[in-house]
Amino acid sequence: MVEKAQEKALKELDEFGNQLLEKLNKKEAPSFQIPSRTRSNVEFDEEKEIIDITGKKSTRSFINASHVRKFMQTLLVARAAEEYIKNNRTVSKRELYYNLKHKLPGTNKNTWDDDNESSAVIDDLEATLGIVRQQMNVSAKSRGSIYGDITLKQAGDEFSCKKLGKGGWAIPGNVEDVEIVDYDAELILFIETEAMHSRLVEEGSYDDLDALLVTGQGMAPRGVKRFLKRLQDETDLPVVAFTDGDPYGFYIYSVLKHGSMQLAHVNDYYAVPNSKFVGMTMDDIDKYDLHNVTENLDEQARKKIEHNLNYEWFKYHPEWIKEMKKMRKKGVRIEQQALANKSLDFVAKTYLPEKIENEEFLP
Amino acid sequence: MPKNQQFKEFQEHSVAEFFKKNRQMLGYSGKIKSLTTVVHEYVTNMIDAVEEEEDNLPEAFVKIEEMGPEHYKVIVEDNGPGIPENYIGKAFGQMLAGTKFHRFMQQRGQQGIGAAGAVMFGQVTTGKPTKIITGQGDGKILECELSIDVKKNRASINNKKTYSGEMKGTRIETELKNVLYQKGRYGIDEYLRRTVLANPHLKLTYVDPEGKTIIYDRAVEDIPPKPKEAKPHPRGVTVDDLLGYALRSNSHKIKSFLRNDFTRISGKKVKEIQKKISFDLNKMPKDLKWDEAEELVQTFKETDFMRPPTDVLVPIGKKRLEKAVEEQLEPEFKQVVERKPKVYRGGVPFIVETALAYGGKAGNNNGDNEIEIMRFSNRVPLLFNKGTCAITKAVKSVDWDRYGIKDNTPVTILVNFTSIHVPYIGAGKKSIAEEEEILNEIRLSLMKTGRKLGKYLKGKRRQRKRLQKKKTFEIYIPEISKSLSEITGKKEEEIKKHLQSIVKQRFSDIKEDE
Repeated sequence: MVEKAQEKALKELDEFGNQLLEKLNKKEAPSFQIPSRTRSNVEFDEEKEIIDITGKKSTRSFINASHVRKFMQTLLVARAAEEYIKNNRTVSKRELYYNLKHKLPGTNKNTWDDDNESSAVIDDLEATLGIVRQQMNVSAKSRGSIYGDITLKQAGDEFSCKKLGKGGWAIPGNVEDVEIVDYDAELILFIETEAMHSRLVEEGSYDDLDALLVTGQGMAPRGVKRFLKRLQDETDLPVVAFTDGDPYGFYIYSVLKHGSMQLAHVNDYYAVPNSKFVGMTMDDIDKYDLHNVTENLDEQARKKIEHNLNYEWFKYHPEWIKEMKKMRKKGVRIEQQALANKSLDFVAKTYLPEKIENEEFLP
Repeated sequence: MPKNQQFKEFQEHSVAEFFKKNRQMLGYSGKIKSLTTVVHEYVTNMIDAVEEEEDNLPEAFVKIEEMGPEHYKVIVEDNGPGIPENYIGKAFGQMLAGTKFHRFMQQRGQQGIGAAGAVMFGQVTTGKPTKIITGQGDGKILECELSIDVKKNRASINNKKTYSGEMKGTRIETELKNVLYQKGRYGIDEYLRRTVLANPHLKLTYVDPEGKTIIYDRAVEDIPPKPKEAKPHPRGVTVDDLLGYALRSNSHKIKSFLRNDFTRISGKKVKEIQKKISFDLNKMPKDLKWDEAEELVQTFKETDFMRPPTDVLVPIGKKRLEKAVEEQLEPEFKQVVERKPKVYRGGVPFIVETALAYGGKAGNNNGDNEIEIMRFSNRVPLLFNKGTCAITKAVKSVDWDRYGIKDNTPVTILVNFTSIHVPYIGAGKKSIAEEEEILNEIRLSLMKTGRKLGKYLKGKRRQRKRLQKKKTFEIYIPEISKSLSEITGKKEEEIKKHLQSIVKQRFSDIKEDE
């Protein structure tokens, strides 16, 4: 059975192929437009509030010596994607690489020599067709999980994410075929670390906060981001992020809210622009007297602050800039788990309920 | 001209003794070189002799027989006019007695020592005379043995036999010792190969000591025009020349001698010269003294004369040389440049011809990793004394790198220097003196050939690059066709054809057969 998301992919692939064929019939060299994914072509779209690529496109032509190899590879992946979708098979990026690696007829050249080549082509195809690779049945890494009162359906199985043991449901790399059947929650809480996620599950925060607890185990992978996006789109629940109080945690939040530069061509699929940030903040250190559990910023962290300060989407939020500057001035970072210094359940019983109740959020 | 006219021009000079003492100078040093020199002398004489006849294409036979260690017999036969009995001694037995020495005319041999020297060399090393068989096509054949009486500078002819038979031409057989046959750049094989290159109208059959026969066919069938005799130009003479001419002059006064025996000296010029010099030009030419001759030559240099006529020179010719190069070197690319006649020392006309061959058999430089240089003067290959020659110096002075020609590029450069008076260094006639005008002419023509080859190589490199580039497209066509066919359902073969024609159109500048 072909899902709706895959249907769109098939349509795009078909159009892509026919567009090339049309040129060929006119005796023109086949070529296609590909949105430029270079850093210089990435900008913050204030209207959509996501990191996006500008309209700049480059042409990839069969009759250009520096394009022809990639041209071949792009068609190879397009052809394979169609096959994967039709046969209802999902492959990993690495599998795709091996699956399509072979000698070009009559030569000793390979279709590709390493998986950097195949990965780049997958990204190109995403940008060209305006779909994500999961829609082409090429899955992203699966990492992260969700716990809470929500019933989902996948591959014919219906399950509640509250009844799968303490770990909850592991979010797969491809969530396009996941259906939201029912839920009972007031908000979606994105938690940076798995340890904190476990703490909150154990303390019963899903009930206390009426929250769906989602973790990406660090930087959220595509599956988690896409799932969050779909959850938000389909339930309209607010998304609140809870990360470490350091430049990395804040960056993870920024990716969740506005998308990443690497995936600028598909951030529409991932970014949740109306997310809010609950903590950890520099003010928390004073407010909850956590001075003795901070750690000094190292050189790398300081550099990361400077980087953050320079991003357009950070500058878009004066509060973010203020937060980064405070961090730079204090010269310290504060981890989520430092709250355990007060007591193990402090985060679940005091910190989060208080801040969420009072909507002490950063935008 | 009566057939025997040329033989009447012999003049005797007693230098046989001189030769014997100075044989190194004449090319008889070194075992390999000596053998090549003998062949060279006979072959040069032979071609000149055949060309004396109208309507006769030269055909030569050269055979080297090994008689023992460092002991060989050289046989050279031509299809020339043959030699009348009473001239044989003068033709082969006397130094500086050839027809050439006193004629101001472009010829292969120049000083007339040649054939006699070879006869002498054989005699000195083996004690044996040289065998001559000659016929004038009149049903009679003359066979004799010739040796040289060194003291008297005279040929002695023995064992004379006359018999009837059909023969037109001359066959010489000389035995030599202390010589060595070897292949390589100084050997006979190379000498003959080059001779054929510069004389494309010559048919040559060569049998080497191992009995292997090489036949060089004519590259062209037409007889080259005969060079004209010309009077010397005042700017081209040395003091020695001047005294020599004066001695043989039939004029009664130097005034008329100058007017009659030189080109571009008019009565008006004689008056001009008289004003500048300290002695009376009304005296007898044979009374001209050395210091007076010196004064005259100096005055010639300070006087303006019309340039000498240059139509007396006959180069190989562009088309002939092209054919010769094509036939002998089978090059991938060739460029022949023939420059207009020029004059050196203000009075001696000359023509430089250069050919550059690339690829094929060109650039076979006996293992040396440098450009192969073939030097010729009046079509005679110059094998020895490469380093001192103006041709070599001109080649080395060109920045070949600029034209993309490296040391290992398979290139042969051929330079033929044509003149009535070739400024050889030494009596061995092995290398051309470095006259500025000559060097410059050679350089200019070489640079032109270099530019042309450079352009060709550039085009070739570009072509190769284009071909490579074309391939980069072609190797992807099957995979692209397959994928696009599967996506769209269009026939794979049809897509392939479309793509191929797009590539072909894009690279329409590439020749199909490559």
